[in-house]
Amino acid sequence: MQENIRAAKLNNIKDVIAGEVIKSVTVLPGELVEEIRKSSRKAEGIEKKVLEGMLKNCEIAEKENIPLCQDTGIFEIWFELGRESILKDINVNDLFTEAVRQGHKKGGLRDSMTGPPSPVIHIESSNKKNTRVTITPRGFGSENYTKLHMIDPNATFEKISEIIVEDVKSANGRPCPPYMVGIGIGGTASQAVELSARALTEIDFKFTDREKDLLNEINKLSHGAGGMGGSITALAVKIKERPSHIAGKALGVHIGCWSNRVRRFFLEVS
Amino acid sequence: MKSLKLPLKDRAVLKNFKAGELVFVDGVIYTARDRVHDLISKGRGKWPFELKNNAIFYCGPTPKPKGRNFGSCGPTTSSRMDSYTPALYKKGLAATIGKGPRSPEVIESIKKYGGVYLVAYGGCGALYAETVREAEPAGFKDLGPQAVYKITVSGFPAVVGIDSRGGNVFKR
Repeated sequence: MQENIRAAKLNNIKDVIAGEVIKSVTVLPGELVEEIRKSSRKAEGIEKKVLEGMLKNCEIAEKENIPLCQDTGIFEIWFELGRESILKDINVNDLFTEAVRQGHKKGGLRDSMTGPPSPVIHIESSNKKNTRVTITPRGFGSENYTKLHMIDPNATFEKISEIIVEDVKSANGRPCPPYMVGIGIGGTASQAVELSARALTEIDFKFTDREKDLLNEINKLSHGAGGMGGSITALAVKIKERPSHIAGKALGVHIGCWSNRVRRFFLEVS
Repeated sequence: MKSLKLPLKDRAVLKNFKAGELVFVDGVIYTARDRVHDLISKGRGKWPFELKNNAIFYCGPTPKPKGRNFGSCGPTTSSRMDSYTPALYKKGLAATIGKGPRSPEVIESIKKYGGVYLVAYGGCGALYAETVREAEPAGFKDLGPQAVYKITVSGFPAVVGIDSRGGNVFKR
């Protein structure tokens, strides 16, 4: 995925981030749109109509600057503080919360929460020179199907695959297929789920052998794009892994919708 | 291209729609989702339109942008409305429009009272916004995106998910 640099001054940084918040709900990553286009060429019947509708949706949203999906979600943001950032003295939580609220107002985003828009913000320090920001609006049509499994530490990957395929099967086409499936394995319960959400931010359609096998297994379910039958149930499976505890393995599963909205950029503040 | 004109003038036309086929909705439909269904089921309000021969679209739109007719307005997951739905088909509701499969009880009520369930394309809020010609709040106006909107659509694409004979596109 393209990682552009966004330049900002301390006095306009909130506007810059708010602009990215709006873009995150109106424009999908180009690689993802291309993948949907490729799928629509292969597809037939209703599945093809649905995929063509999705492509048309992307065109309209970008051209008209309106949200791709009415569920503009809860914003989940990863903030990886660079070594040379001058943001060290800034309250990043407040900055991003205010920027998300500003984006909501200016971009006509939906009030989808029971209170004021309240983003989930992960703040990390990194060894990179620049600060990297990843913005993902999480819609609940798909977020509702997120799972955590605490499984046997000796579980084979075959067993893990079975659990994941069963999760996708039981979602039964609800979370807007074709899916982007994010898997987190290892760490604590909360880390496995966070890893599975983070896996969805990796949009490159390059897969390891295990990811490829799992993608094939999921596509054998034949729920299809749109969920009404077809060969394209999922577009991607991405796995992120950490060491596990010797007494158990945490498995997080995110069944992301086709409209996997991610905005990632380096933030250069001067 | 098959068109379903709403509200229905003649219920018999629903027999012509078969699970799995693409149709285009033309006419008036009403948005309603979780909160409105819950409030009405608890006796805290009434449907602000005649259920008979009308359609409910499970949708909570984004705010209306300046210069446009309506906000982004794709379907939400229908199964959350399953428990409320058979009673509505019993009252003559023609159609519900949403995404994803329905419960056996909903399928049974569609068969029994001769309705239809349409599946709109999930995640396509911008596409559906383009089909809206007119929109006005029709009830529960204090609920923001969960309010009932009367919207007039033209060429609104949807797939027949469950037909009046019980045909079901989600039968795996």
